[in-house]
Amino acid sequence: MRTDELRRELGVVWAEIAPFTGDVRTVRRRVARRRAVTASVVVLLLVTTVVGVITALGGGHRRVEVATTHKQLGPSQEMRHVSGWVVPTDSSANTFASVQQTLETSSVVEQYEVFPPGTAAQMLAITYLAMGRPAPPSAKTVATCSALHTRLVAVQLRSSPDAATRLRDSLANDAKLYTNPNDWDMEVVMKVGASLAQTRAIQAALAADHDLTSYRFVDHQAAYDTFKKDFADQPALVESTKPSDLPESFRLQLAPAASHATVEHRYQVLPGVDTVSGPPGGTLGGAFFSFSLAQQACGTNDRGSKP
Amino acid sequence: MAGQEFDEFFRACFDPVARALMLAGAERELAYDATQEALVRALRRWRQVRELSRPDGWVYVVAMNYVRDRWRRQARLRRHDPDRAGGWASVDPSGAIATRLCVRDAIATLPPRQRQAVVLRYVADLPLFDVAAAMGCSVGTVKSTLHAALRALRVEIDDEEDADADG
Repeated sequence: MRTDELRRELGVVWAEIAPFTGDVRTVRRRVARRRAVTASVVVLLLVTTVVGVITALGGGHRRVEVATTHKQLGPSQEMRHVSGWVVPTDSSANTFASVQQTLETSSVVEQYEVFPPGTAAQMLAITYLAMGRPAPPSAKTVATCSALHTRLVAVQLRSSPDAATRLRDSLANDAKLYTNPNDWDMEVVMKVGASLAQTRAIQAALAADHDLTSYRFVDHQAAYDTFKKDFADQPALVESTKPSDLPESFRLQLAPAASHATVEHRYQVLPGVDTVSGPPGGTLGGAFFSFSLAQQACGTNDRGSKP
Repeated sequence: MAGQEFDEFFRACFDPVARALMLAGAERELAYDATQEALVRALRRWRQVRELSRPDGWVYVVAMNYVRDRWRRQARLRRHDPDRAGGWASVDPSGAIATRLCVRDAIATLPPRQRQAVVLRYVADLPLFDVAAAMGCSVGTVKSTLHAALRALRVEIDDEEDADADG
C-alpha cells in the first residue's frame, strides 16, 4: 500500500462514520455569552483600578489626618522593621475602624502603616518587594488583600515572644495577622557550654552596636520550647534532651544600611560564640541546627566511653 | 460582519472535523463537543482566522487540542494516561495487520498518538507544521510518529514527508 492508497482507504472509513449536524446558533449564543463575560470582567477591572487610584490620590489628606494618632506612621515616615501584615476580613469602614482601634490600644503594637485598598495596595506591596524593605508582604497576604479590596496594614510589634498571638487574639474576627516568619535577620549562636560572663559580654556588645535595630535573647528554655514543638512527633528525642543541651542565641534585626558580613565578622571572633548564621532559612532548619548541636554535645560523652 | 460567511464556513467545516476526530479515536460526544468548542473560538477571532490559508486547519488543530486536553484530564482522574496506554498496544502492531484488508481495523490498533498523526496528516490533509501544533510536539516528532504508524500499517514510506517539511 502507498500513501495515496492510505488516503483513499482512510477516506472510505471516514465516510462510514455517521455524519454530524452542528448547530450554528448554539455557537453564536456561546460566543455572545463569552463576550458578555469578558466585557464585564474588563469593566470590573477598570472600575477597581479607577477607584483604587482615586482612593490612593484623594485619600492623601485623610491619611495625614489619621496619622496624628500616636502610632500610625505618616506617608513620609518609614517603618524600621515590619513584623507582620494585618488584613481586615472585609472592606467595610466599620471593620477597619475597629481594627485601627485595636492597633492603637494594643500594648504589643509599636507602629503601623496603612496602605490603601485594591490595586493601590497591591502596587505598594510590589514596590515594597522591589525596594527590598525589611519584610515585604508575602504573596498570600497580597492575594488575600487584593481579592477583598481591603486596606493592608504593616505592623511593627514589640519584641515579646507572644506578641503575635496577643495581637491575633485582640483582632479576633476583624482581621487576620500574617506574620513574617523571618522576624530576625541574623542569629548569634552561643556554644552550648558558654559561660554566663561570655553571654553577658556579647549582650553588652549588641546593646552598643549601631548596626542593629534590635536584638532578642533566646535562652536555653526558649530554645527547648521551640525544639519540643518542632520534634513533637519524636517524644523519645525530646525526652532525652535537656534544655541545657541546646545552645542559647541572640536574634538580631539589622538596621537597613548594615551589612551582614560586617556584623558576622564582628561577633564570630568573640569568645563563647559558636556560629553567626545569616538570614533564617525557616524554623525547621534552625531546629535541625540546634539538634545537630545537641547531638554534638551528647556525642562527646559517647566518644569518651568507646573502647 | 461575520454573518453569512461564518455560517457557510461552519456548515463546510463541522462534519469533516468531527468525523476526523472520531477517526482519531474520540467518542462521538467528545468529537461533537470539541468541534463545537473549536468553532466557538474561531468565531470569536473570525477576522484573524478567515485570513489564514487554511481556516479549517485551524479548527482541526484547536479541536484536536481540546480532545487531547479532555483525555489528559480523564487520565488524571483515573490515573491512566491514554497516550501511553497499555491497552492499545496489546495487539501485535506489525504481523497481523498486514493481512487485514480493512484500514479501519488496522488504524484502530495504532497507539493514540500515531492515530492522531495519521488522521491529521492524511484525513485532514494538514501540513506537517500544523500537525505538530495540533499534537503539541515538534515537526521531527510528528515525522517519526508518522513513520512508525506507516510502518505498522505496512504503508510504503516515500519521501513525501521530508519534501513536504522543506516546502
